[in-house]
Amino acid sequence: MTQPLASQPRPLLPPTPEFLAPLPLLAVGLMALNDAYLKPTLHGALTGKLSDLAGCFFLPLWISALLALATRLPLRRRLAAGCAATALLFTLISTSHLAAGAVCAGLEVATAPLGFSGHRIVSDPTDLLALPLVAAAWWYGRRAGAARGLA
Amino acid sequence: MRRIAVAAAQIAAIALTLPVLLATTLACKTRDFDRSYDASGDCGPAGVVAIRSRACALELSGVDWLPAGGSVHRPSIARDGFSAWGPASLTPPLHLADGTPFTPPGGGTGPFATSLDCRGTPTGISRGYIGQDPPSGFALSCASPDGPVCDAVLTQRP
Repeated sequence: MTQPLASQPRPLLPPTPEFLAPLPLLAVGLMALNDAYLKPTLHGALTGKLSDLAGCFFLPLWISALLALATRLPLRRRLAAGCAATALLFTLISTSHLAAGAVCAGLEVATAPLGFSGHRIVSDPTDLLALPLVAAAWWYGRRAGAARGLA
Repeated sequence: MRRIAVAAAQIAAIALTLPVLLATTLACKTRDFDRSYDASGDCGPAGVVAIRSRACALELSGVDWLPAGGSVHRPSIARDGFSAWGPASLTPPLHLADGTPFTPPGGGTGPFATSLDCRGTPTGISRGYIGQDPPSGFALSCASPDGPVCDAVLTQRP
């Protein structure tokens, strides 16, 4: 009689395979690269959308990973919450100057003590082109979870 | 040891993503998207007037502008957020770079469209796009026998 589970050390933190994986981390890196280098250098329509595409993909997975650390929610629910929050937030700020302003105001309050200020979001409905990436994040997260045997 | 490494990687990846997310809303504001157009000095043979965006704000700058009325306008700076493709569209309130309200020539309540007019022979147009992500700008250079006259126009939309 074998006891495979006994040989597996229990991780210190709940596993977050949906985010701690090459593709989501690559998306984070892509956003950083785009904002820091590509946008100011190339000034193009592609660079204008690249961060939106990357963000719509990794943000649901990031939220899910945060929830994994903070709650005991199963992966499916965490992903659902991440995708819903991302889709809602992104739709609001892309279509409403008011919402974009409100988000910036909230960020100001939250990040001013850290020395960040001057947040600005340009509301642009064409950014909604990136929204399908939220669905891709759902699919990716579910797949990554299944590979690790998570529900 | 491996458990500690995995946990540290988890925390690092999650924590380091936060500044990336914050930076995407800050990049537009804190980064200087200026291009090095020749926008200084007199409107010489290769005079250039530029509309460019600096730190997410519209900046009209360049040589002295000679509007249709004939008087020389010193470079003016107006800033506002705007979101249209192509030529900038400005929606009041407009503010000068120092934060004081900016009243466009001739007044008006806007929204305003900005355009560049070049009296003389256009010698080159270099354009990006304005008001998007990131704001960019375009420059128009011109030349004429009398020296180029570049005109930046701010007109109120109907």
